[in-house]
Amino acid sequence: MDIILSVKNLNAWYGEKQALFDVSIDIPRYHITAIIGPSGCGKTTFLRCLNRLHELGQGNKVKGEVYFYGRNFKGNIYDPNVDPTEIRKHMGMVFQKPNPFPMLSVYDNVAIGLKINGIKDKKKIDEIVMNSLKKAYLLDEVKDSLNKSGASLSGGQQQRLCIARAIAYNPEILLMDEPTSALDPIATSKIEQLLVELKKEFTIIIVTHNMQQAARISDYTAFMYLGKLIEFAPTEELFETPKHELTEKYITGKFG
Amino acid sequence: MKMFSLKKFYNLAFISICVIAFILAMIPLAWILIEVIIRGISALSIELLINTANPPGIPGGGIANYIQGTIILVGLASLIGFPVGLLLGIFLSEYKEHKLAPYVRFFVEVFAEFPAIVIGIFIYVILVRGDIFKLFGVEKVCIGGFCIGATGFAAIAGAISLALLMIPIVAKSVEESLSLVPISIKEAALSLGMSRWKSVFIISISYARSGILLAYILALSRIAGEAAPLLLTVLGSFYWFTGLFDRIGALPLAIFTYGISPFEDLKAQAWAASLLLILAILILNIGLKIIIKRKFAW
Repeated sequence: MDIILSVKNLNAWYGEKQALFDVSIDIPRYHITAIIGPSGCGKTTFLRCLNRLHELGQGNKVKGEVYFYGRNFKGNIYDPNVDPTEIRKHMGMVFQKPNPFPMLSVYDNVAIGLKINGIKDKKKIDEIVMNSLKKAYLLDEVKDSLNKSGASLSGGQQQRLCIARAIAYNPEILLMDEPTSALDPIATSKIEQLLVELKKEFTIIIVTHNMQQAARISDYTAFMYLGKLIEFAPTEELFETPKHELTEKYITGKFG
Repeated sequence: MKMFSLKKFYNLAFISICVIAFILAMIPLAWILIEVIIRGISALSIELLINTANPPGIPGGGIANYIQGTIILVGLASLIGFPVGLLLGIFLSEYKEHKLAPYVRFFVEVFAEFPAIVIGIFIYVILVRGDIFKLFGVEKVCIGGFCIGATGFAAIAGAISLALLMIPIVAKSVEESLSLVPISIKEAALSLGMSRWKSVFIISISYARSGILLAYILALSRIAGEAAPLLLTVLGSFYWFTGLFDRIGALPLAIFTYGISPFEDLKAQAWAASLLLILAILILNIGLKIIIKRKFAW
């Protein structure tokens, strides 16, 4: 298995409260890995540790190692010499609630990631923006409103705009924190299709509270409970022959 | 049933009290406005707007130099006060956990309540009389060929005192506007790989830009009408602006000196100056709100 992220003994705290306990997991490249588990099990915290966003909260702490085997970066992202902003450039993040920049146009929402990464060539930016919107299955719907505010789009469109924004600067990993939980079923199915398409180019890690969603789109699934990783296996295997009792109880709906 | 009607009565009574309080508050305000408009308009004329002041005792003359003076003073004060206030506001809102933050906040809050005349007397002592130079045992400080000593009554001293008034107002409002930027927007910026200061300057400031502009206009309105610190720093002038280190006129000073003068035509000019000041502030405020609604709405 070709591993892109190797997490070793990751622990995380909110102030005094520990939210992750010794999580170790290997994320395969160019696949969709789903993280499921009941509310408060640490799924989102885990995701936010992977692009070093968690540590920005006041009093938050992280301990452990995350080895990233990227194109231009190889090593532990929690190494003291590593600049977190550099790490975040290798990872795109899509949040639970669509959060396009409302003061920027649809076009600029996608272009801003390129501009801050030092791309100045207007033609190139133009090309990448259009390409990203196309990949996010959004171009046809917004091609006449590229200059309108990012907040003028519908919820589902806004989320796809956020995906376009996240893939524009060509990260290697897409971190998705329940990206469809605020959307209706039609918008959800569009985004699910999109993710399956995107895994050709990106490694996707998706946090979801929706087991059906995990079963539908992911290749691997991790089940977390009370801050611990309980089981990690190919999705089919995890859903059909769970090895751990807790996993079985959760996927059969006995708790959660 | 009885409970219900009692409730209704309380409700009505409370609303009535609110309405009465509103009317009581509005009467003096409306009175001032009407008085200024009526007296101001009858005194306004083209000559008044294009001529400079006559020396006292000579009838006629205009208030053009005071208008110019106010624009220069407020402009200079903005150049100094707005950037400083903006940076302080950013510091207060984005670097809350910094160990200096509580002290800066205390300083800003105390400064915001400072009486303007105290700032005036401070600048008078420090700059106009030049005690800051005496403190270091020198008459003046020279950088290259440019020397600065006690400024005497000077436009620059007035602008600095107005800037000092402006800084805490801008800082407080900027802090408030920036704290309204949702965390989700800040996190989106950081997740794109922006450094913290880039996310503040590119995303947060742009998100909060209408609030920041309003903060500036608020501060501008406040300092444009200040007379006290100017009396102690620029003293006033009957002539066009001649230089940063010379005396300069300003509308509030015209209102003060002409308002208490015994000459009727000068008193009328004081009303005209008041009207102009109020109009300028009103137009700035209303105009800006319209622009914000049109351009910055999303």
